[in-house]
Amino acid sequence: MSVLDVRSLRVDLGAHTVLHDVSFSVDAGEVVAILGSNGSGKSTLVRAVTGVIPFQDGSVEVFGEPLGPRAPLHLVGYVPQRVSAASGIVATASEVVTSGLLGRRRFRPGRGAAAKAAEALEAVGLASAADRPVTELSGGQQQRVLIARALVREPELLVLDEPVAGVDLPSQEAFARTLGRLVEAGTTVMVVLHELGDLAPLVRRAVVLRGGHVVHDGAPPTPRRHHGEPGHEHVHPHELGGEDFELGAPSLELEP
Amino acid sequence: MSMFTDPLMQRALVVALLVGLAAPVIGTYLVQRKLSLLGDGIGHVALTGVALGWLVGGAMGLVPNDALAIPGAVVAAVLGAVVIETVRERTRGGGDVALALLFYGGIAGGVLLIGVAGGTSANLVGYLFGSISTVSPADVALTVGLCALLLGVGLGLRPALFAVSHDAEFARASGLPVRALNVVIAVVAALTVTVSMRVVGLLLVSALMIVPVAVSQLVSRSFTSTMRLAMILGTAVCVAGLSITYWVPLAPGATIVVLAILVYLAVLAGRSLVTSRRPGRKD
Repeated sequence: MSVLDVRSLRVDLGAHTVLHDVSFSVDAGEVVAILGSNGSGKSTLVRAVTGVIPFQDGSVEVFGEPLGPRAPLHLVGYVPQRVSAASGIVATASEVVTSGLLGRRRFRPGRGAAAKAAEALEAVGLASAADRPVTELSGGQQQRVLIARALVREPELLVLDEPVAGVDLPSQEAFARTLGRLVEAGTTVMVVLHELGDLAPLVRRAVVLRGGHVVHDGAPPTPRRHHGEPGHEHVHPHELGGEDFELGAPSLELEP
Repeated sequence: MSMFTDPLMQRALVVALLVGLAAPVIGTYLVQRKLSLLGDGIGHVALTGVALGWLVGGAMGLVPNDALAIPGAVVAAVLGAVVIETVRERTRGGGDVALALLFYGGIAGGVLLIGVAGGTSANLVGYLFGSISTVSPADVALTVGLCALLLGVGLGLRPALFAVSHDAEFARASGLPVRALNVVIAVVAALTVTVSMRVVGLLLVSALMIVPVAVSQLVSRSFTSTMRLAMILGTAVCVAGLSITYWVPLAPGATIVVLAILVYLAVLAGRSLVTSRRPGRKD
């Protein structure tokens, strides 16, 4: 069954068309990476399919229902790129995670919310930070709080936007472990990444965007020599999809 | 006659207590959304409503002729808040100039209309700086009703209002009606402005919403405790400030606000004293 079905999606931001005729679907249990350089439209894509921003043309179906008042958004866990910690008032990790329990007709988190939040924080290795203000946590820990906020919904589809960008190594490893467990349990995952990194063993399929077009949909591209090696620092000033990755390579070399 | 047996003072105390309790609840959301000055903007627009109410009341021959001033302020403030929220959403937090035009238009419109109504801008002074010493039983009833509504919405919808104020994108992806909840916050902010108008006046209205929250922020470590402490502080400064003016001839609104700011400074000083004694502790 198709968990997410995107057909001929066009998204404009202002006068600029950011996504052109994007189509792909994600089946239950799949782990799909959305790859592309900065400005290729990756974040716009996840924000459009989660209903955060409107789209101008095409269709998005979530669990068989078009995005809109009937879409079962309670089955979706969205992890945005880390928001700058500039909210006007402190909130504890537990308070932020609890807000994940709300939904279309759920304005209050309901019974057992604190226990559920504690469980979700435990899953990302932050059980001890529940009552600490998120502003006191490291960038990686803040990102894990946002992941816990999505997990507390017990989502069947998890949508993550660059979850490991600018995140410290222990948090990256903790994240890869958490995601591995979820995938084993059958959660469908759509994850925007700059490079596969630690998640390479989990990712079976990649959709590569370039200039707002899908230029590849299939096996994850093989990183060119050196690019996947540990400690490799790489900046991608150029367009992806020909330079850094060999698309459609028949043999798939996954990093350990 | 003691302070508590004077019926005028009794009414004033009830109004001050309720407004002191309710205003920081709504103020907490405004501070969280970095809209601390929204209350001021709404206050400016409410002045036009006051004058309009005066004009309409006069034309209808009502006695007193400012009977419709507060209903006028409620209508203008709510409309103004919804317009401000719409401009903010359409322009993604910008619309700076459009908002400035609305604010100045509000004050100028008020002064112009009060002239048309046959009054002078002196008639507006009570609304600009508060007139808690002349609270009527009907005013008390209106205040009780509005404050009950504000507390009901502000506390009852706290999880949802927290969610949209903390991260609107995530709230939208969760299915929460973000736009509707934003309008709810704008409307309750407008109602807070009109209900606080009697206590401190439109020019100081925002202080009741924001200063207790600012004090609470200095010492609180969660959203819930920030709001709770702000409610306690708001009530305390309103009642204490008003009580002072029973014995000392001072303007109640200004006394309350100055008291709140003094509390802020005292807590700030106390906190830096505590943190400087604990060199290992990061702020």
